[in-house]
Amino acid sequence: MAKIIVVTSGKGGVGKTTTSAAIGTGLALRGHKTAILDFDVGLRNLDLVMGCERRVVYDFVNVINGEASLKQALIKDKRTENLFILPASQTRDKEALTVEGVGKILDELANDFDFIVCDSPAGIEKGALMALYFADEAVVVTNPEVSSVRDSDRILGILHSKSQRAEQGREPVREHLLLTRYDPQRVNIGEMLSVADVEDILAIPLLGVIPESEAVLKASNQGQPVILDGQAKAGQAYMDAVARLLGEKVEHRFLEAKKKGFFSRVMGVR
Amino acid sequence: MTELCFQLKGSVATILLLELHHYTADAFAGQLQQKVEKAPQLLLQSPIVISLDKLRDDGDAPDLEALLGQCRQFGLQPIGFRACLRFDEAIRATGMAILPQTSGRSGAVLRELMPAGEDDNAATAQASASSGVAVPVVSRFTRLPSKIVTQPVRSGQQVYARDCDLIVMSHISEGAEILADGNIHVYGGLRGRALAGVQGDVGARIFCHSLEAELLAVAGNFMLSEDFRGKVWKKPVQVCLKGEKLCIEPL
Ligand SMILES: Nc1ncnc2c1ncn2[C@@H]1O[C@H](COP(=O)(O)OP(=O)(O)OP(=O)(O)O)[C@@H](O)[C@H]1O
Ligand SMILES: [Mg+2]
Repeated sequence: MAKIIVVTSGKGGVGKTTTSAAIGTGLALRGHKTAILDFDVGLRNLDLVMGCERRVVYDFVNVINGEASLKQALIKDKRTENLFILPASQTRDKEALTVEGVGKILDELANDFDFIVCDSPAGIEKGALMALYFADEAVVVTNPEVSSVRDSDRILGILHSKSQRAEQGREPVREHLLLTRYDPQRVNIGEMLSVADVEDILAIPLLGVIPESEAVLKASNQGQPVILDGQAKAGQAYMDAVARLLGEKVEHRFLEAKKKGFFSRVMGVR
Repeated sequence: MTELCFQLKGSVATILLLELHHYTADAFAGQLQQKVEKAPQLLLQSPIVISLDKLRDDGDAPDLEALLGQCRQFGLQPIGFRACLRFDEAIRATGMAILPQTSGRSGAVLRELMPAGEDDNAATAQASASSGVAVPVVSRFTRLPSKIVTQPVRSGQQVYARDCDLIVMSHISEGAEILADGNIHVYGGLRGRALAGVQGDVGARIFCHSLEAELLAVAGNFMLSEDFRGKVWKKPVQVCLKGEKLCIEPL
């Protein structure tokens, strides 16, 4: 049975799609057969970040409406073994997603896959609710600023009341905090919340801290998940997070601002 | 520059309260008629609020449309209802306003307005269209076992402990709201809104581990965070009502 992981946040633009692509790819790199599902119907971003936008023929809504089979719609990733993408539709609205339709697709995938990563749209409306409804685990993507933390708190409340697990009174969805776009220097001068501040407010286990990094934008422009960039801190931090998701104990890195030494200043090393 | 068409202002108006104790159409009509005959200058064309707070029977809402019809027939102008949550739906169906409950300390002024001899007639005064709510509300609060919440109460969530105390073993987020008819205990940071004694129990209290609340209220008397961002902030405290004033005391 596949484990269903929703990547969610409430607030928009905090790094959900970046994270879905990275974590999905990371799980596949670790040998687990993984599918990443784009629930952001109408916007469709995941395929761009994964660099497979030209290979999209059928999408999520086509499968729900029975216009295509799941097999036809799933796109096999070219770089990474064991990795598949189900793109969102660009022409429909979020109403096209139904509990029955989504449930059927997840059931069908569950037999074949180890992990299903659901990239949630922003907000707390239909699309976001659909993405989290069937989740076993949730990666709550949060930026170190007050409004993002507040929205994450809301989403955690919704996971507790509106997920299928909550409705059926089963064991609650396992929650993970992923703090992204973290900039220790700005934390030091009080422009951003610290890891401790955010942990204190949300009170859920910390899966990882992804530093603010130019490599992320570069990677998504190239259609390559940043986790494949082993040189970038953000890529390494995502790899660590995947290891923790798989139950390994890994120290947190990149939490402190490094004082730039003479050498790195001269060489321009980031 | 365009001239402002209007301005919104807060105001307090003294309004006649019709406190319903029980309702049968015939008895109500009879007693209301008596009342109006006795004090026509006070009652005719008066706006009134109908309070269901003290309604004796615990069952469904009385026939509110019929009730409203009778009031209008006798020249009263009902503008809304004051009632506990369970009547919300029935009230909404009438299109009338729902007023928040207060612990009701009005009435004194109205009593003076009533014709002489009215006060002596205590029995009828109580049973019908009188305002007399001068006595603080001390009704029979039957308490059920406490409601216990082990998880954080998150932003956007609301937890209400009806007829009982509320115990939260975690924190209350900013943007969350907890309410209880009885006392509230929070064994974590209280960062949201906490309202104890919401049905009017002036003896209800709030206890918390760390006071960081947006709002505190006991029996409708409230304080905002700006009122207590001093010595007691982030400290363990209890909150209780002394007279009409909320007091925050370190634990
Ligand atoms: N660690 C990071 N460092 C720098 N930029 C980042 C980082 N993570 C994400 N970004 C940038 O933030 C922007 C938003 O990212 P992304 O699309 O993943 O967010 P999202 O939460 O999926 O947004 P939406 O709510 O619109 O779906 C992108 O431009 C991305 O490159
Ligand atoms: Mg996105």
